[in-house]
Amino acid sequence: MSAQRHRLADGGLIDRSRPYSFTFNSRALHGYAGDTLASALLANGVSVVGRSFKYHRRRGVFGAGSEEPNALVQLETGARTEPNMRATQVELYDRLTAASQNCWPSVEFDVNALTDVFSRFLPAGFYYKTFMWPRSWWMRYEQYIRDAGGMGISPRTPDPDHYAHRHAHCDVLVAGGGPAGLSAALAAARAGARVILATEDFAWGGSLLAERAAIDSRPALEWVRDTVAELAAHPDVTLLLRSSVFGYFDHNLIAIAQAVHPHSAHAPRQRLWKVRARQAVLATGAIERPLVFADNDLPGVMLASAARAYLNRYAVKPGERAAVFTNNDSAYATALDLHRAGVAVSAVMDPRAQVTGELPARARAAGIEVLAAHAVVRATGGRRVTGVQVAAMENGAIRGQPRELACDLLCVSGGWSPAVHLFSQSKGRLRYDERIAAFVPDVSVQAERSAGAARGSFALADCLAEGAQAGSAAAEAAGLRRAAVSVPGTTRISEAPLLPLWDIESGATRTAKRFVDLQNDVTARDIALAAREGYYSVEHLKRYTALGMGTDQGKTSNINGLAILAALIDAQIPEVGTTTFRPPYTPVTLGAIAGSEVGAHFDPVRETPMHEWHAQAGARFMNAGLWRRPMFYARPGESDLDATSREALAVRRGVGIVDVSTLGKIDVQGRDAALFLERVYVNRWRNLAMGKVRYGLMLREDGMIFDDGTTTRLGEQHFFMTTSTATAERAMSTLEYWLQVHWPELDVRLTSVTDQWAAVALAGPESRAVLSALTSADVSNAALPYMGYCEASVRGIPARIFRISFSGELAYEINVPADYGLALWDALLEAGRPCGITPYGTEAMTVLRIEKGHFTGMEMDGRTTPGDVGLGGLVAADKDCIGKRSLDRPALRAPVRRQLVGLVPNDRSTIIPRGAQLVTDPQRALPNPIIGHVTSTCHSPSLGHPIALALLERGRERYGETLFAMSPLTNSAVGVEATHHVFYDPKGERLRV
Amino acid sequence: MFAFDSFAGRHAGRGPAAPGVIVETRHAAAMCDLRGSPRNPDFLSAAAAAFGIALPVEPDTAAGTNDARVLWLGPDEWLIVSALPGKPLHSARITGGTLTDVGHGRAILRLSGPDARHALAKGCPLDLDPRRFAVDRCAQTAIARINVALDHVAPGVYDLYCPRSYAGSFWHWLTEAAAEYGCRAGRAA
Repeated sequence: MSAQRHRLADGGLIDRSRPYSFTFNSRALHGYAGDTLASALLANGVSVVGRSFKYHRRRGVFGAGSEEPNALVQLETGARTEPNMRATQVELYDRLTAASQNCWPSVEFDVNALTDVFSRFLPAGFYYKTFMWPRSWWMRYEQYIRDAGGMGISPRTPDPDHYAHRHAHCDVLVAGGGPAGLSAALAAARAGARVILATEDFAWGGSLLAERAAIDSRPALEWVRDTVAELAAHPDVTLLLRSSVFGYFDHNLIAIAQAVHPHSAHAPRQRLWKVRARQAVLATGAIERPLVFADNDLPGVMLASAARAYLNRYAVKPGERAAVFTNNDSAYATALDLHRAGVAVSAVMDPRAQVTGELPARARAAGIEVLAAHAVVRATGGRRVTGVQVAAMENGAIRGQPRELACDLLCVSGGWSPAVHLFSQSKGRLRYDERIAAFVPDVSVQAERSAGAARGSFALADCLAEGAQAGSAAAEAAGLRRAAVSVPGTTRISEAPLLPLWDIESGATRTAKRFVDLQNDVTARDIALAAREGYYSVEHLKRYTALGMGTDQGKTSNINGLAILAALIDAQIPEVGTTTFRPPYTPVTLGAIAGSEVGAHFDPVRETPMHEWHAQAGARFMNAGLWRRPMFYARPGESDLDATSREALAVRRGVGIVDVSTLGKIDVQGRDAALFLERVYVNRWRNLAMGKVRYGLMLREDGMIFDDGTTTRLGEQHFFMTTSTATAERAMSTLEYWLQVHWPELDVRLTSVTDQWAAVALAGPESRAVLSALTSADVSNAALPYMGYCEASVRGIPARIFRISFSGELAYEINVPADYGLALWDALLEAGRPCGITPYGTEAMTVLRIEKGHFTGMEMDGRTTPGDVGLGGLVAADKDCIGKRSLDRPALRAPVRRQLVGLVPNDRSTIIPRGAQLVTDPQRALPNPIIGHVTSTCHSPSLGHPIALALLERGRERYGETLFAMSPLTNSAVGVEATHHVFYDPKGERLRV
Repeated sequence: MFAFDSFAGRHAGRGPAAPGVIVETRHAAAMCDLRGSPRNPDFLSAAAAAFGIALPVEPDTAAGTNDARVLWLGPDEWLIVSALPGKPLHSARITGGTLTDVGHGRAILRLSGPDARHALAKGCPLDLDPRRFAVDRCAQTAIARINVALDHVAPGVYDLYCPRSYAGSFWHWLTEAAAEYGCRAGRAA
């Protein structure tokens, strides 16, 4: 086992009895359960973890949690690879594999590091300014810039894992597993609330995991353990580790991305929780800010809190000789812990003139040198920091020559910014708090409250007290009893105020890189340049310089960046404001967002009762909305067109059956049913006799055709309506809307029975023979004439038989309760075998209806009136209906409206292109006036040549005219002749035999 | 005959001994959609007499037993379900009411087992906590983007009424959602 030479001999929250091996950049390394990838890398002495975004500078681990800007790695390889994973949050497991990003050929020798050498030519906005011309090269530039910059690599193969969504409801959701969050959850749980407590960490305790605090005179982690145990024992508490509360949406909808662990074969890899919380407690803690000085990005420069976490939680020495640079008291705890762990602390540089707090006093007492009124102006070193240049400060400015101090670890702290991201996403308003030089929650908009460090109360005692109060108040606001709040005891450490310090610039470091945003390589000079060029708004600054973009969204850089901008434009920080906080708090993998709605579950599928038969018969299916419908049943060796033509001809010459179960079906009952139909259809209904079917046309309020179909009178007050497949749900809801909102006085009840009935159209000259063989009912023309209806037993199945036809042939539509659909289908096939009965699909159905000039959704495109399709006469003059008044609008009566016509190609052989535009002269210079368009097109096997339907200006006056169907898609112009739209059996004689 | 039945079998997980979720297909002998005004006492009493169950008038509640169940679907709409054969429900005459046979239009799945609620929560946005969605509560909701009626028939036992044409999709979704808890699927005895 390779030595973990930076690992402490004992202590920490790692499990030394569970060693793991892992590889990083192909090097075999070792760590322990309880490590993160970052802590294991540090334990192994790996200081360079990746290369930076733009300049390809070496970068090491900077933080210890979700704020990490530098240590982004490509985790695993192949289909399970994940880019941009924060090594500080990747929980180590055995045989983990990770690699550095954004470097080639290796992290140690990266060709693109040349960009750093030429960086003075690459200021902010460089790309916008340089790659503007020639315009035609934009995409080419893009390709190279993408390769040179950027992050990790997305997986290129389908994800082998699955993801799940989970809806949840609770009284109190607590975001954050630190002292405030645990206190809040405990108080809420004791009040009887349903609680969800989530932390992005894989252990409970938050900041306590990294500290050496005491609660109730015991180690704080014992309090954590007991609290979690009590919470876990509550049946109404859900504890979510490894769960990032990443989004706060309207109505307290809160989203959590949970990494499921341990991963098992049937468990999802991640679970996306959508929580409706009555109340939320945001105990999201605070993020330590870096300090901005020259070369502050060298590996070995680290947030003071992170160094402390590596020491105390992971038992890793992040360096052998440390320097600390801080403008506040908190980093002194790090200095003390380093000292205690045997790390030499060169000095603590503190810009404050007087350093008076309790922690600095302890540091001095421990023999640590404290340099008041001093700052680090530069970090020095190559592969990692080897020293710092320290200079004295006077009135906030660097004075005098810097001197060199040796160190291999520089811990920085520029103060703490409350993690107000979720609060801000909830639309709460922030306030700038001078005391901590950061934004804190001010006015809530949704049902939430912040507690502890998330609202700027950094002391442990305050976190515990505010958490307990917030939990209790949230439970009460959620309607539960008020419970007594007990707050465990802690020792309060007095702290002196911080000294805001945003950009440490000495004469010598004026042109050096003082990084503000480590992830996006944005320096203080870039911000100055942007301000000079007029980008005063923080939102513009962000987009121009990339400050605060990327996977960390500026968690460590935002406040520094806008404070530097404020100083440059002579404004106050609150005036400058923050950029908008948007979800997600940390990146969420797309798999989790998609959940199970992938592949076959992308959309639900609707199948008819005869679906299995169609599938076994080799049907090719099409999507009709959510329905799967057979297009045709091609025989071996048969082309699509041949199959379609064969099926269509079989209907014209013999008999065919088609599954029409997908048609919308609505049962209409009530005293006013006939009156209702008169109001929704353009034509007359009161006079429809019992047992008769009638074609009906519905309009929208604007007079355009909404839908058509047949409706049958089953009884005095009972009708059966059908709608188009595509319109079924819209028709039902529209009709319900009219009934419920506009005509509540009508006694009419609608019930959707689409799924109740299987429907088969039996069509063709032989159809009567087939049906007669299956029923004793008289289905002769005399007993059951065209548009007649009867109920009969068909091979013992109770059936509704409608003498209607879409094909234009003698036909029956037979409806049976859905369970019997397949039996009916089989019976018809069997009875029709002597006549060569042919099942046909939607393609043949389309051919048959185009031959008959029947219009469908292609023609009813929301722009056609009854008059346009030749049904103006159907609109009853002596009654009103929805949309009728609109038909009188001048534009709807204009003679130039496009009217339904037929088209036949002049050469009788060229298929008329679908969607083609109709013009009179194909050679005419553009813009060539378009006078119509092709709506439906096919080859007609009955006529032996192609035909089409079209909507054509003054179409009915143009029969016999030659036009051209131009298709920019096929780059063709087909000469066509306009005709009447009914090509086949125009008198309808074949229907009525 | 329901599309469900062809998928019956064991679907992974904890093993047949202790499945977290049990999915069973149920076959109602009859199912009817009943419409009528709850303000019409003649209608209410006629319906109660015909089905032997007083119509629940509180929104999203159900009444009755395993053999005969009434679900509130709307202010003037109920779903009548009978598990007992022989009674053609839709031919009943109910003063002031109308009946429509929907017995073939919906497939019924019965969900039980200790994790039934958790599996449902993967697609159902409702609060299924038994204190909020108690026994005899029902709801119409979208699960996996499919409209279903959900009926809490007995503690931890849910009947799901799914439009027949969506049944295959819904079955696949449900058994997949339940797989992580261990799922046994089959036909109700």
